Amino acid sequence: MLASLLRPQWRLVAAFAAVLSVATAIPLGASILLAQFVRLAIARAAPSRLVPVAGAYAGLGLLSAGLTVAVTWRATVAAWGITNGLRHDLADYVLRADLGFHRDRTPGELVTRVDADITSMTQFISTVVAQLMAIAVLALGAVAVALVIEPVLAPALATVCAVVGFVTYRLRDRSVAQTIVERAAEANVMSAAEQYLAGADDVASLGAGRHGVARVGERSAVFVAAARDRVREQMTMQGTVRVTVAAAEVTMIAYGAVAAARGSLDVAGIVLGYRLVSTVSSKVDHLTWRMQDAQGASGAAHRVMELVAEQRIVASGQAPVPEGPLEVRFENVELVYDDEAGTHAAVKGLDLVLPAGRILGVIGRTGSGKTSLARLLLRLVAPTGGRILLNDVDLAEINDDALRRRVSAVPQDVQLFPGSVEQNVTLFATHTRADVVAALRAVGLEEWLDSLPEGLQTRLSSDNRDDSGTRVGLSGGQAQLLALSRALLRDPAVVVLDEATSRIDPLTQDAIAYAMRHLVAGRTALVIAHRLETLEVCDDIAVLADGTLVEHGPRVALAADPTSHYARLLAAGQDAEELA
Amino acid sequence: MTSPERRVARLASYRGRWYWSGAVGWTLWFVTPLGPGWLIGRVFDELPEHGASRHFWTLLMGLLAAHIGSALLIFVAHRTYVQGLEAAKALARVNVINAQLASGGAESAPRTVPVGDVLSRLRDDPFDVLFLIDNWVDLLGAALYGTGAIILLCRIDPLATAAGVIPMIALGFGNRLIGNLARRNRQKSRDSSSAVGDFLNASFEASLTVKVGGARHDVLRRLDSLNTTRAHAAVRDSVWNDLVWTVNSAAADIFVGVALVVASRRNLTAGDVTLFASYLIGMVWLPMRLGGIVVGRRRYQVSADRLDALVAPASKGTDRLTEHRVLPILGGRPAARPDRRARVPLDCLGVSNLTVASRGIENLSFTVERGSLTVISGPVGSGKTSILRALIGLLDIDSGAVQWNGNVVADRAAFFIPPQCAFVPQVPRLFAESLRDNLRLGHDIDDHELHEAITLAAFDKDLIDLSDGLDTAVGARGVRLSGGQAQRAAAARALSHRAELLVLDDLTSALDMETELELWTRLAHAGYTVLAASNRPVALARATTVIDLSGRVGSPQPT
Repeated sequence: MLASLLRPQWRLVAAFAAVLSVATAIPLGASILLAQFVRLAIARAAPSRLVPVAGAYAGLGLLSAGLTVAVTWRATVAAWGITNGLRHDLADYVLRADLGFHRDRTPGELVTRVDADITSMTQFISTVVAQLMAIAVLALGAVAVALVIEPVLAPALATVCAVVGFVTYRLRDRSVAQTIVERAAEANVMSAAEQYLAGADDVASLGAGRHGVARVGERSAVFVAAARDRVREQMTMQGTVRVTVAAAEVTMIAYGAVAAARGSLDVAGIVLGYRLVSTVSSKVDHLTWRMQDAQGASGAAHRVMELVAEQRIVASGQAPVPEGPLEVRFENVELVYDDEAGTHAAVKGLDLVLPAGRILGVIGRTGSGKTSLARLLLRLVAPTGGRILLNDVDLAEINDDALRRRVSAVPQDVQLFPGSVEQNVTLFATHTRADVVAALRAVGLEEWLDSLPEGLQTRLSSDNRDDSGTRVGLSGGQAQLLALSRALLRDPAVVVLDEATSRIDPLTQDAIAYAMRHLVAGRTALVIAHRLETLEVCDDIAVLADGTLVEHGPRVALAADPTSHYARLLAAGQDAEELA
Repeated sequence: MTSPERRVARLASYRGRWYWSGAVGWTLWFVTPLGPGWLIGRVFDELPEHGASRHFWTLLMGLLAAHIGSALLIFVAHRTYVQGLEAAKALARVNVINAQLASGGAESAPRTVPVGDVLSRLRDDPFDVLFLIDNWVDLLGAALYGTGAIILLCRIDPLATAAGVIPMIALGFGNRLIGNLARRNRQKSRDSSSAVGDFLNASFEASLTVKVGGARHDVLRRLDSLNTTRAHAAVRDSVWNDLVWTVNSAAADIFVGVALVVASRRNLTAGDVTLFASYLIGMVWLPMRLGGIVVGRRRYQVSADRLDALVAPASKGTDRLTEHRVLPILGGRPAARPDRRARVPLDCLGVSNLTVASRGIENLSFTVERGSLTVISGPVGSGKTSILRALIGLLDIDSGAVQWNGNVVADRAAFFIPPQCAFVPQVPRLFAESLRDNLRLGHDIDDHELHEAITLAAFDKDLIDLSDGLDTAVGARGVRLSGGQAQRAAAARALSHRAELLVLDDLTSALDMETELELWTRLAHAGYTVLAASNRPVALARATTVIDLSGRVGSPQPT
């Protein structure tokens, strides 16, 4: 996963590694200078000979520092570039994923994966990858220096560097599994926090704050235990590397001492050998701390992969949507849900035609299959049998973007975004102000718009939590009207209204009728509503029961036929009002 | 105002045994390099030109042992430290959650920050608050190391030691000057990160809207732009930190050079040179850490402000962010279940001169008699929901009063909870747990009482269809239930308390007509006192009193 992310950027990574190698190799030069200094000092050389050596030593340090900062800077910029791309792709995946995917996960958990997990990968890419390469180059450089200056050191140095490298490499994945558990535990804490915070009105008004606190507390406890387990593994790695590094340094000194006893090395040579190995090993030791990021990144990458590997996207094809008005045809459509709750057929062998430009009202009890019908048409679920045609093109073959442009819907629950009124109507697309105002006017929100302190630029809060006056909230009904204006602005050929006006008061039935007429005019529409008054804009009525069509015909004709379900419901509705 | 250090220490002391023993271990660990450094010097001194002395091998083994000891120390210290740190972070998080979910009272805080932003603060800010102690531990460790190093180096050459150490300390004070810039960078980085989190949260919550509204590409473009802003801020923040570190370590190299030149007037051994180089480079931490306290305090301030905005303001003797509470962490026992609150039977609820200017509610007065059904009706945006939320304390009021049996209720949010009052919001929220837990929400309610409430809420038929009955997991936000089912489940949740007053906001908006009729009939028979916002004919027909808000501002006018 990480490798595949970095592959397109390999030139960049290689360039960073090269510059970083130079920066890290400079201390090797410093080691040579230090050995030289020892030689001169022991020989009681004049200060005039010592100062240039010391000066060069300091200068090299500065140069190394400058290069390191520059490289880290560019690497950080590149890492954010790479991971912002990944954030985009992952958010895209989440937004395309099917209903079941969203049913199984809270937004809080998804945000943790799309943002927090990827941020830890950013840290990894910007620091560890380039440093890892640089250390390899540094080790080779150290051996090269030894070969040139004190060849007798070279084989020992090469051996201990190899051992340190091997041990570090073997331990690199030591805590990945624990990191994955830890991150999942943290996401659990966040997802619990998110759901209770989002439902704070419900919780607080029922005096149930302790329940939310207890649930977040329980999950926090699991998280703390997971963090402890992760640290244990990590410190095992850390400690092992540290001891190995120490053993490497001691080995080099011992080797030097033996060589000196044979007369093939002087004290300065031993110091050089020690400095060379400690230059490499101190970088390795430093890196093992950064390996925490690396292991976090591997864990995060794993979790991100897990998410994408589910492939929870309803299949689509590449066919375009035909131009002009669209006819919708359900042909022997069947939808069987198969989840842990068992299998149950929501739609059974349904045949239904919505002629282009006509408005169909769908009624039926909870569980009769009306919402499934809407989901099928919107391709939120794929039929398990039969097919759905848009002007004779199979829905399953149609390109996703094209489908979303031409077939739109207004759901019952309206979600607002943190942003201006305008952004909430356009959903961040580009439209002229005049078009936005016209859409709001068409749904009857003009007066509301006029009452806003900053008009279209007034900030809306995403969850109605802010009453401070700098942002405004919307009533449930106003939010539904705003949702109608969203659909109107997008100008689709087919529109599905699933209880889209349920929170708009029926007292001003005219207002709903007004907004709905604007929205459905000239389009093919599927309207689901439990309120019979809302269905008065419809041309046809379909009655569903237990996943099958039990009645279908022109509304006026059904109303006139006292034996029809629709007429009986109308009568029951009137009775209900007369009961008072 | 308590000092930042005292506040953080209180938070850290939550599992103090772990945290502080870890911190002491860390401090010691910073000092341990003195040993190997000194041993290295001695080792080289024991190396005359021709062969090693007797002591050489002993010292060399001592060096290895010192390294192993240091590795063991950090193994233990880091493990206990992380346990203490994570427990303290969890405490701060839970304190915020507690304040955000509290029903009135001294612990509750205003819920004005969007959820996505709250989450982003919960994720990152507790660490930055606690990091202040890390800074002190680091400074103390560096200071102890520095003192030891100075003493050992002075034995070789005091003048050279001074030449290396004095500029290094001066550099430390220089670091203090740049603290402000560090804070600004950090604040920008954190705020832009919150914006991304908030937007992602809203987008994922609205994933259906985005998909069926064909807005995916537009939403992603917006995300990209927020991401870019955040990337700029984050790069600036981290490069700045790197720069400070690098300048300091480069300066240390220069000071080593200076000290060595000064020392060279004497007869230096190989061990002396090594000792100077390793001790002075090790001391680079000292100026860094001096500056670190300043940077750390500013980081603390940014994050503490962001968290304090989510909890109740501190009052005498209480600090809502750091106060300890019992959590099931590392052996803590979960809090005992709260007692049922005393019931204050309702005779008459009075609302007088209620004004919430921002919602267009002015001088509204009405009364609700025991056993009555009072319905507030009116067009979209006329303030039906706001009146209910203001009444029960979910919304602040500008003026006016609410009386229960003639007594003014001072803290409405604390009073209007079960068994006095139960509320069903317009869009009720269910949580990702079993149906039983959703209905009980931690209250002491048995299955018999639940079944009664379920029948009353007309949810009994739905319950039969659910495979696991009350044990059914309702999924994130209750999505496994249909809109109507969720609303009836929420009604059952409220009814299970047999509260004196039921406040229902547009309860039946997702119900079909037959079910709605059934529900109102059952409520009437059960003799509940109900205050409802609704425009439904069935409700209006049954109402004993109707409060009509028609003609208020904000209503859509058909043209």
